[in-house]
Amino acid sequence: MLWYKGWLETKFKLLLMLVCMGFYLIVFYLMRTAAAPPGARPAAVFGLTATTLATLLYTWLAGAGINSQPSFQATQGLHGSTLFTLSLPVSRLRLLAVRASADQRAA
Amino acid sequence: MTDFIIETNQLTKSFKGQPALRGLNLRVPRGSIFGFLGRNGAGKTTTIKTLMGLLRSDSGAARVFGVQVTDADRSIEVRRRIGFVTEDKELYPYMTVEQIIRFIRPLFPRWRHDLERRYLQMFDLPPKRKIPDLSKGMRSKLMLLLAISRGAELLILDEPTDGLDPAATEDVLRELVDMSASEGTTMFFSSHQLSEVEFIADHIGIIDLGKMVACGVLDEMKARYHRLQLVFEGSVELPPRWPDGVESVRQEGRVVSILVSHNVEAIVEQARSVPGTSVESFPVTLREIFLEHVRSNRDALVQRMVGNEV
Repeated sequence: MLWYKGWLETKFKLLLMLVCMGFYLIVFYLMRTAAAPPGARPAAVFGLTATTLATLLYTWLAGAGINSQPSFQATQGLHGSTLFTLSLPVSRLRLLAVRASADQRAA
Repeated sequence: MTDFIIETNQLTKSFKGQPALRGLNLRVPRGSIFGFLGRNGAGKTTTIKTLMGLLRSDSGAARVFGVQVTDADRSIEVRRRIGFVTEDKELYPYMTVEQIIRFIRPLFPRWRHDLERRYLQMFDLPPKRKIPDLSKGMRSKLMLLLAISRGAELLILDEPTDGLDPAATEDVLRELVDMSASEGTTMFFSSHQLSEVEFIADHIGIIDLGKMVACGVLDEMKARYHRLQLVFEGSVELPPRWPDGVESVRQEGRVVSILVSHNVEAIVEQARSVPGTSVESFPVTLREIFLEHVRSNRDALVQRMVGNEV
């Protein structure tokens, strides 16, 4: 059930991330020749920029954790909901592992 | 098996050098409704967080169900047997009432679907509403629902009626008493509301400045304490010394009020020996017991501090 929580926490971020990646792909497709510097292969430019963008987005996605559970523009209840989570019959390791793998899965 | 569900021994905890718990000794008997009283900053929430394994004590020991709270492996099983209401009643703001119930339910194998349905209806909680859109009282109700429906053997409730209106408070307290009577659930709850505690608790513990200053069966404590009222016909002339058992003496005009913790007969006898007085004995309220313990503890601390300075 921690997966369920992970999904609810990250779904907006995941959606935004997919929108960003999709937007990037469309823009790159439309400007594939113009975006590449002279002599560079568009595929190499795409690979480099896409990897950089994906890394930034994954980092952002992983930013919601046990201490910052509200995932998207929610700042209320950080402290209280953290205590509530830690009082559940789940090991800290499992909380961390599910959270990390939820991000990994989303990535 | 121990008769105490919660036991602490000389528990200490400090925050940035500021002591919050100073050798707390606490015993909560199985099946009791234990009211944990104290002023703001007395150490109630720190105690509760330590019992839940959310804080690590500096020294001393704390056991819940006979298991050390620092035992990480066994504490998971212990937490499965506890229903917990946090002080600030904060839950995940991205979930609805329905979603948080769906999230919590599988974590507790003894989840009570009957209680879940009953409290959803009784508390009038809208399943589709997001948690931030609930009032503080509604959030308190939701937390109580989540705690009670776990089928827990022990409920640890940090100011459970905070934010509830008087009618809802009464309903909740009655439900807790019924639950304790029918299911044998042990309840350990902190509150500032002495009337609430007096209404449902059978045991009380008073904490002040991180130490337990009084603990016991509520009825026994109330039976032990008496308030004597001395009315003087003329000028007030009190004996220079009272027998052991006088906790406080307060004077208002020609009326003197004495709080007695034990040795009542001897004190009444001495009071009657003062010429021109009438003496009456009254039962005391929990409020009087609480205030007396807290005041005398503060006075003792101030005296110790003055003594150290001198």
